[in-house]
Amino acid sequence: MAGKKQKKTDFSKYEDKWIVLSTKTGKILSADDSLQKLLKQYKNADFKSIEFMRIPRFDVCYAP
Amino acid sequence: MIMKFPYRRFDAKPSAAFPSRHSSMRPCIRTVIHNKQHPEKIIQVWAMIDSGADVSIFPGEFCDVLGLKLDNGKEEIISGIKKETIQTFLHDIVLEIGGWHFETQALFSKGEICFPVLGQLGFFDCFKVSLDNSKEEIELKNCRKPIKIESN
Repeated sequence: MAGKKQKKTDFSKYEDKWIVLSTKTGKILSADDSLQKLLKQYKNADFKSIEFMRIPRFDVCYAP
Repeated sequence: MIMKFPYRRFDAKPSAAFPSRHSSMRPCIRTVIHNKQHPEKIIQVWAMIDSGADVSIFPGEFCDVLGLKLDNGKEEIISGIKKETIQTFLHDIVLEIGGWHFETQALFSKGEICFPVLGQLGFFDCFKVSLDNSKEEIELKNCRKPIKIESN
């Protein structure tokens, strides 16, 4: 994993949402405002093969 | 060992302050969280490296996947740049980055968080971190011995 170039994925439609990505292909499998809903949807999935990402809002800088 | 990761590009919209902005590069890396007692229970998430965070923070919803009971952890109230506070609970975890595993701790939030964060406890206690903005590159060097787990 270290040093691997990230695959280009178009996140433009997923502002402020949680998304599920395929670890192998980097493809977006699912998206929702609610993380809970996604976790329910994937409750029987192999959690080694998927990864979760929160897409930040596009109109603001991130400063926690 | 030394590991290098690229920054992650996120879409961004132009603003009055940054009229030519169309994306933001941020130090985000793929992070695997394991239940310390049951390392086969995992969740993978992209998390932001944030040296200003005292502790790593993940959404409380992850606890279900990890087989942890959120409020069985010790309570900690956190706040960020705004004064608003969030209730969180501290749990023992195994953090996996780049295939290396470290025993550490992290907070899990009861409320919604903007982004999973890798902070001082839960990340910087495991790695010496170098962020090279010009190269858009994250370099991690372990500062203690990784552990071996059987789940992989």
